[in-house]
Order: sequence, then structure tokens, then C-alpha cells
Amino acid sequence: MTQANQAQKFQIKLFLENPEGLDLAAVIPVFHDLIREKQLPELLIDVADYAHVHQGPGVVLIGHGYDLYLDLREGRPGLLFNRKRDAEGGVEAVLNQGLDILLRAAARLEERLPIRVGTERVQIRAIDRLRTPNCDETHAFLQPIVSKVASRLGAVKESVRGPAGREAYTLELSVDGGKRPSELIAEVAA
Amino acid sequence: MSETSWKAHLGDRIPPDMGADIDTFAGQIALKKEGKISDVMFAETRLRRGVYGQRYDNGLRDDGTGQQPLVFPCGDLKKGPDTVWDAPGMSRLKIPYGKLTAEQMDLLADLAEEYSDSILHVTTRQDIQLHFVHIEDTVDMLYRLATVGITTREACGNSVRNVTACPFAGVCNDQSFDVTPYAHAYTYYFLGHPDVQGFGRKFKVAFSGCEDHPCGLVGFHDLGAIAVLREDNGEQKRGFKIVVGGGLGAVPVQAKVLTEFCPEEELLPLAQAVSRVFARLGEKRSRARARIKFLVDKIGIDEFRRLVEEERATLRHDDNWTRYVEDIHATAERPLRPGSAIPTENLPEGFEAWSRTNVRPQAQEGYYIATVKMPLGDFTPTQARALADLARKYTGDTMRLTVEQNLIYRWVSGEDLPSLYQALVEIGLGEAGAEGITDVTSCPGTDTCKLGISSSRGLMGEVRKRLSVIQDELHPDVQKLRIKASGCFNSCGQHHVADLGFLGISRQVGGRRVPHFNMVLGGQWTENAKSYGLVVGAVPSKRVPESIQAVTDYYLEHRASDDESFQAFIERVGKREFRNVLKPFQTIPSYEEDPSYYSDWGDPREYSIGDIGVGECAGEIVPIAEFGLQAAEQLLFEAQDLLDEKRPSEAAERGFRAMLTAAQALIRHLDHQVGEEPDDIVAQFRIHLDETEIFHDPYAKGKFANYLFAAHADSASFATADHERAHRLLDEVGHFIEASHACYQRITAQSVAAAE
Ligand code: SF4
Repeated sequence: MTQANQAQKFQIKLFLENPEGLDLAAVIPVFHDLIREKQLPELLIDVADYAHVHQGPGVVLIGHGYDLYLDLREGRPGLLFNRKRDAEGGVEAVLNQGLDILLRAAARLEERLPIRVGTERVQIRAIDRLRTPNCDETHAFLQPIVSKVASRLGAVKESVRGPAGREAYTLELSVDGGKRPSELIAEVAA
Repeated sequence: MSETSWKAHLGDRIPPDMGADIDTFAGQIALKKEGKISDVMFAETRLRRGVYGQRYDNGLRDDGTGQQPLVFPCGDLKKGPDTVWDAPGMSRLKIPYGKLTAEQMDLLADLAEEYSDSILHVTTRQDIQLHFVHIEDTVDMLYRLATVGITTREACGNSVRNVTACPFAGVCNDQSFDVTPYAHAYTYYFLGHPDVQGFGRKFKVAFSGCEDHPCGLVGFHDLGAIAVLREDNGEQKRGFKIVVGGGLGAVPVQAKVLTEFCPEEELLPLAQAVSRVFARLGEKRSRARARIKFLVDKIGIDEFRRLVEEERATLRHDDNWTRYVEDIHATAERPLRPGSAIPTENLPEGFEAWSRTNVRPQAQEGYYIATVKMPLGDFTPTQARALADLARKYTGDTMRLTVEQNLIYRWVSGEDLPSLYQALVEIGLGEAGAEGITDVTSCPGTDTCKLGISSSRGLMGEVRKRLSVIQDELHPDVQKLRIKASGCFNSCGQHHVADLGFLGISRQVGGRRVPHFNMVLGGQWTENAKSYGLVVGAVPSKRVPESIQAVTDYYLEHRASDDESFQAFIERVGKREFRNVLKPFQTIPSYEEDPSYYSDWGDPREYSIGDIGVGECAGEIVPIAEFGLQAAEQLLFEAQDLLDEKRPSEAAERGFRAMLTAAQALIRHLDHQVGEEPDDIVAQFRIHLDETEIFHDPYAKGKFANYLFAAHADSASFATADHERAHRLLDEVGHFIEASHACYQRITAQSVAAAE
């Protein structure tokens, strides 16, 4: 039996709509400002530049409980939230909180840089291999929760599970919607 | 549903000895959180498990306008003096001589993803480092690593660091013989060995298969071993030329020859004698002068040699000195596929350029070594898994990391090279130019190191990017130059032995700080890093890339002939000439004119050195006796828990072990040799601490020593001890440990008084 209901370590990624002109160097000062301005919840600490790494984490905003990557994995640039520790509540709460932070960070980046963070496709990876091994049981537990959380972006049209094997359990969902991150934040606030 | 832990999940896949050490570390984390261990003690404990601090872990960060506090959730809890508990840290994973299996690589990929920032970093000592790891994640990480035989033990601290060796060992055309089994034996013989626990500083060891090539770089090691074959009665006898006392740092020193030929069976005992002399006579108070190079320099190599020989003569015999020699081929690698020539037709695009720089033939016909160039030593979990699969497919499982922060495959059959190259291209690791000007090396610098002054990684990233674009147009003699950078004078980037080396410094201009690098030219990488470069001047960080071009152009234009090497040219032309070459790059515009000079590469904050912290590279200096006494106390705690759990016989046995551990610590503190057996410990204690009355309390005299003797005499009965017997014993154990502390303090006070 997996311990999926105790898992905290999740990654949530929204993909860039206009990855062509992405300038990673321009992301660095915005991440530094996020540390300085304390506009996002919890403690943010440092910025790490991995632009030289092929399809790597790009530029990383390191925090205490979570990190944010301007991620290049799979050659699909996007903004990624990575919960490491100290989350509160069950899996759904952890994912909801992660999505909130991700949308807020996306909105800040869109304000400062000519990038557009899409909300029609979201990828969730469960990286805790003890509690959420990449198996059918984990899938059966997480799929409905992830779909519910993703439906905040719009009605879920499709959800595709990533390959089994050594990679972390991955679920990618496409939703009806296409709203800007700032609109979605405003909806939550309302 | 009860929570499963990694330890429970992995069960007996964790080797018992490694598991016990990690349990101890987990126990010390718990004790630290209860306030039962001092900050200094805990810092040394974690450093000895490769768990480092990182930049900002003093809770302060400069945001470009001034220092701001980072308010971590842990409050006042510390993991070392001025080191905040919750601050993310670096974990250094020891990879002896850089050898990794595919299974190990797969696990490293998972760990990087789960505990770090999804980057694996190859160091200049063939280790892997993970950054931004929380201290409380380290225990799970260590259990998981133990299942694939990786330890972090003594990856840091004042002990023997990762033993490095030439990555081509065993397949090289020029080697005297394969040094792999010797590097392996050295690693595991000294791991946790009592004679290497009392150093005042770290101790770096390297092996090289020959004298002439740079791969082992023994010249700047605390102890270096170069493989030598000698004729002996018509037979080839294996042995080593041993050098000691080399080092980089602020003042680089070439190692001196301890012996021209140390027979293989004498390698470990000789190294043990060196370790004991260093532990006994090396500086302890001043970290800045505590490396062995200062001791060798102070007393001279001849006196050092005499002391080592004297020490060697007194060593107790140990079968493990030579046991591995009987099975010398145990570490040998075998090819997966038959050897063959490299195809000449239907080659993928880019293959020829790649194979020119990244491929070399092995000593074994039909097999090749392929170098995978890792940009700044970094790679991702996805790449790691792919690299593991390529090892499984082409080499039969293994890879080696190099001190140039790359990875190599050995035993690749010639006909497999094009498809290996193609697969590397697909994961973004098929870049040509290994061991050349674009294959830059850098220490972590200001990115993560607490001591970094300038951004060595930022600079090297920029240099790499610019040179990669023009690589093919560069003159072949420039293409093969090496560039290395260190973020500060500690020289972890090994800049002293590069053709063009850079050392991070800072300069004050108009009331503001400007990041700079000192340029060091003409270091000799070949012949085991035989000579160090010449400092020619400081250049602002932002002008370094252009200055590199100016220096290489100057070399091509002014060298005496096409045969004059870069090193020979630097030596001939000298410092003064290069001052003129660098001059145009040294002018700094005012902040108002160009503020870009006042920030560092990859970091747009206004440059400051306010982030520099207290370094941990060196480790805290906690005498070995304090460690032993701490361990004894922990065993007593555990014994008390066992008694509470109504397990009196186990409690008695654990309590007795606590007494032995304390006794052992004192014996070693007095510089006597002692093993692990109770009979030996008690006998040595009687001779050195009881009969000499050193242990005797001024009032109670020999009373507490008698507790040990009585427990030893009675130890056979512990297996059936009842609660009352165990209880009484644990009381005595408590008194004995207290008396040991008091004894240790008396000894220390006496030696301080004697020194003054
Ligand atoms: S050279 Fe300095 S900055 Fe670089 S890792 Fe060593 S101590 Fe840190």
C-alpha cells in the first residue's frame, strides 16, 4: 500500500506560450526581486542560474519550503513549482497552495517580462519515491485529486499519465480555459 | 495508515556498518534538536558526513542594497556556530576515484530531484555534490546511498577526503600499472580509521599511473602515489613513488619526495605512519597553517621522513595492509562487447570533430575512452538516467568522473562510438572540445560557497559560452589551452595549474566594490601538475573574457616559434610584458557611467562581499577525544533507553560498550594505538591511564577505573543481566564517562600550560 496520502513533494508546471524568445538572463533579476519584495508566501532565499545545462531547471528561485524554476525540462519551457517541505494539509491542500503560488509568480513574471505563461495545460509530478512511487496505486489515488485541482484552471479535457519506470509519477492535463494567471488569481481572491 | 520511513522501507539493503553510522548521525540530529550537543560538536559531526553549510546560512543575505535577515522557521536552532538549522546546505557524496555504476547513477538522479534543485554537480575531486539540501533530508539520503555503496563519510572535515585517481587507470597506454585497486584499498582502509581522525586539517590523496601525464595531479596533494615498476631479481616489482606536502591554496606548494619506491605491500603502512606523524605534530590551533605542507616545510622533508620511518617501525601489524593485494584484479573492468575499429563511413554529423577531441584509444586494441563534457560539471537527473543507460548498453555498467568535472566511458568498442555520440547529442551532452579551452573548470564560487569572493561559475559560464561560438576558428594551439577559475584564494578550482587561471578577488573603486579576478598564467597541468602559474594582474570580472582573447592573441603573435608552448612563452616573456597586455582591460568606468562593472556575472545585484561567511571547507577542529567521549555518551543514552524498554541484557552490553568507547578515546588522545576488542582496550587503558595514574581522580583515586575493570571481568554475564544489575552498571558507566571527561580536561589543561 502506498503512502500517497502523506505525500508533500509535488512539482506543478505551466508551460510558456511563447518559448521562442525566452531570455533566461532576464528572469534572474525578477527572481531576485521576488526575494526582496516578499510578495510570495514563505521564505525565499537565493537564485541559481543553470542556463548552461541542456533542458535543465533553467533559473531556480530557491526557497525554504518550495522552489520555482523557469524550467526547460523535456525542451518545453515553463514555470515550475517544486514543493520540498513544510506544506500543511493533505495532498489536495498542498496542490492547491502550490498552484496559487505558481499563478502568482507567473503573473509577476508576465508583468515584468515579455513572456506568457499558459494555463491550458498543467503537468504534475510526484517526486517522493517512497510515498508516491510511479505505480498504478499512486495513479488511482492521485488522479482524481489532481483533476480536481486542475479544474480550477478550467474544465479538464484530457489527462495523460506519463510512462512508468524510473521517472517520477507524472500526470499532464489539458483544460478548457486560456485565462491569464492574473485573472485566475483575481477569481480566487473574489 | 502508519508512515513508512526510508530506513524501514530499505531494510536489510542498508549494509549494517553503514546503517549504524547513519543511525548515529540521526541520533545526533535528534540530540541537537533537544539541545544536548554543542553547536561546534554538531558541526564537526555533520561535516564528517559531508553535510556542509552554504552561502547565507548565517541567516543574512545581501540584496544589493544591504544585508537583510533571512527569517527561517527554525528560530534559534543552529547546526554549527552561526549556521542556521533550516538554511539549505550542500551534500558532498564521495565517489572514490570517480567510479560510478549505472545503479548508483540512477539513484543519484532520484536524490537530486527529491532533495536538491535537480542538478548533479561533479567536483574537481571526482565527487558529486548536491546543493540546497535540508539537513533533515540528509539522513534519508544517506540510507538510500548506502544501498548502492555510496558514503558521504569523511567527505569533509579534517580527515582523508575523496581519494582521487587517474580516470584512465587500467586502460591507459602509458601507465606503469592500474592504480585502481590501490586507490580503492586506500579509501576503505582509512575510512573511519582512528589514525586519520585527529588531523588539524583535511588530507587529500591522489594516485597516478605514471609520472608524465597530468591525470592524477599528485603534485599538489597532501599525499600522492605514482605507480612505478622496478626490476627485482629479474621480476617486475610494483611500487609507488610517494610524495607528501603538496597543496594549492593561497600559497601553492609542490609535494616533496618521501620515497622514490615504496613496494606495494608497504603502501598502506607507510601512509598510516605519515598519518600518525601528521596527526601528532601537525598544527591544530591555527587552521591557516594546519595542512601537512606546513609541517613538512617546518621540519624539512628529511626529518619528516625520519619520523615516518620511526613511526612505521612501531606500527602494530595489520593483515588488511596487504589483503587486497592477493585479489588485485577484483576492481578490474571487463568489456561488454568485442573490440573493433572506428567506422569511417556513414558517420553522424559532428562525430569527427567530437572523436578528435573527446575520444582516445585504450591500451587494449579495439577499445576507446570517450569523454562526456559536462558544462561546469553540471547535469540533470534526466541526463543522469540516460548516462546510466548508455553505460549499461556500451560499457558494461561503469563510468568515471574526472577532476576536470567531466565523465568518461571506458571500454567502448570502436564501432559503437558513432551511436554513443548520437545518443549523447540527444541528451545535449555531445559537445566536442574535451580537455580544451571550452572545457572550463570552476569551483562553486559565490553561487553557493560561503567563502567565495567573485562568481567563478558565472565567469566560466560566460567564457564557455563565448568561446564555444568561435571554438572552430581558434588556432589549434589555443584550442588546447585549459582555463580554470576559483572564487577565492582557497583554489578549489585548481587555477594554479591551468594555462589561464583565475582567482576571485574584490577591489574598491570610488567607494563601491568591483568583482575582479587575478589572472594566473602558465601553470603546468602535465607531469602531474608540475609547476604553478604566474600571477600577472587583476582584471575586473566583466572584462575577463576579452582579456583572455588578448592574451592568447599576444601569445600567437609573439611566440619564438610554432613549437614554443604557452608555458614556455610565459616563462620567457615574464610578468611585466603581460601587465601591458592587460592594461586596457583594467580601467573601470564610474558607477554612473557603467554600473554593469559593479555587479558580477549571472547576478544582477550590486556586488558586495557582505555575504561571505565562515568557511567550513576546513571543518571545525574538535579533538578526536571529544568525539569519542561524545560517542560514549550517546551509547549511554541508548543503553538507558533499552533499560526503559525492559531490555536489561542489551542495556548492559551497550553500557559496557560506552565505557570502552570512552576509554579508547583517552588512549588515542595520548597517542597510543588500540584496537576494537575489549581485552585490548582494557589492557591498554590499564597500562597508559591506570598504572600511570593519569586517569585517577584527585579524591576518588582509581575508583572509576576499577568500574571498567570490574565490568570487563563480569562482561560474560551481561547476556543474562537482570534489571537491577543493568541499572547498577549504567550508574557506573555514567561515573566512568564523567571521570573520562575530567581526565581529558586535566590532560588538556596540562598541555596548554606546558605550551605556554
Ligand atoms: S576556491 Fe574559495 S570560493 Fe571556490 S569553493 Fe573553494 S573556498 Fe569556495
